[in-house]
Amino acid sequence: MKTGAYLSVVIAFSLIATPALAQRQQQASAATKAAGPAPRRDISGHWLGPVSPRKEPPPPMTALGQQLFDATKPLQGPRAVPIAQTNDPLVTCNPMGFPRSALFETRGFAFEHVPRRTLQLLQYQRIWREIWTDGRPLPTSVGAPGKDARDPRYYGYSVGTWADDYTFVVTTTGFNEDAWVDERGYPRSMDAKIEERYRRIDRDHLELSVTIDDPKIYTKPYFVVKQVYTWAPVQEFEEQLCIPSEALEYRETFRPAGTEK
Amino acid sequence: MRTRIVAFAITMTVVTLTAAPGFAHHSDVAYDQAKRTTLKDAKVISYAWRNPHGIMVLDVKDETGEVVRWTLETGSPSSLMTDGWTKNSVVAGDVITVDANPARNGTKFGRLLRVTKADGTVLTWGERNRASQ
Repeated sequence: MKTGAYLSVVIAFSLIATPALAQRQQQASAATKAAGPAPRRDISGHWLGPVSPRKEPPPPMTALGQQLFDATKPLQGPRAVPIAQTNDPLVTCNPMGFPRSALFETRGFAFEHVPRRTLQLLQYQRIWREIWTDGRPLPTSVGAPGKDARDPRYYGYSVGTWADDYTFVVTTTGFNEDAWVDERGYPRSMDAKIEERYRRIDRDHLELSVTIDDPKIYTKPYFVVKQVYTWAPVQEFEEQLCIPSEALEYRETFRPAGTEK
Repeated sequence: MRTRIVAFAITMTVVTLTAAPGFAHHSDVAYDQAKRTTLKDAKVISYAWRNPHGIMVLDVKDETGEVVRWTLETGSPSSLMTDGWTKNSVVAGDVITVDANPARNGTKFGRLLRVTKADGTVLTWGERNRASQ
């Protein structure tokens, strides 16, 4: 295919299937530029993606996993319920936690490499994550009794290493049990160990793979997603907030629409 | 050539996956997506342009001439802007015609699909995304 024809198809397709990104990002789209090579050991910058990446089905759950899953009433997926019936923590703007922040509302995020750590900045709710790169181990006593124990967290504790010059691997543990894995209501336990692999394909494309190892909940490691993100032509965030008062008003306004006949 | 094909495939994947779920932030199960209700000459009482979804309140005369109040949910500002809306595209006092998926339970609620303004301007929410699915 000649370059001109290729670009025409890309541009035409982009105009038909308008992505859910800010208009400025669309207008500044880099679709007409050929991506250069990936820089070495650098994923910094702003990246754009979908609201909800397509996810792989989970492996069989344990009895506990199934029990927790059955108790969730999500707004999304095959078990979706009307907003009046959901117990999705996000419906009142409770924290998404991790890995949901990597699996839902992924329209914009950024990385910055700074001494001793890499920071991930998430557009939705303006959240940040600290990914330590100074060689420290992950805490081993999260949630245990004793003065040296660390508290369980929504976003856990994260460390990062370079698997090679283009793949940054983040391992996160130490979760509380108040957040869902994703919008479909899959659970995770305090013992979950979650790996993110960010592979910079070229200058403009970053591939994320997420795997959950949580034997209390899943009988095998759960490879959840592989999603490619694109370099943001406009290197800044939208303000994209879940505002509790507005979310409550939304829920109460549309509650009658979801009641039984 | 091979590099171009790979680049093309990556671009298509990214665009497709980015486009499809753009309007699916909250549940649609309350609405009958097989039905399309048209509310003609609806008067906009209020329109809240906000997250997670906008709230549009309309007064419409039914077949007997009685005024009926409808409440529709629209997209979030960011999703509507990708469809060409601005904060002032629809404001209180406007008289518009609206297409919406009505609530399954028969209440006067719905999920907005399309607005036709008095001057003929057409605004949609997620229509292109649904067409591409």
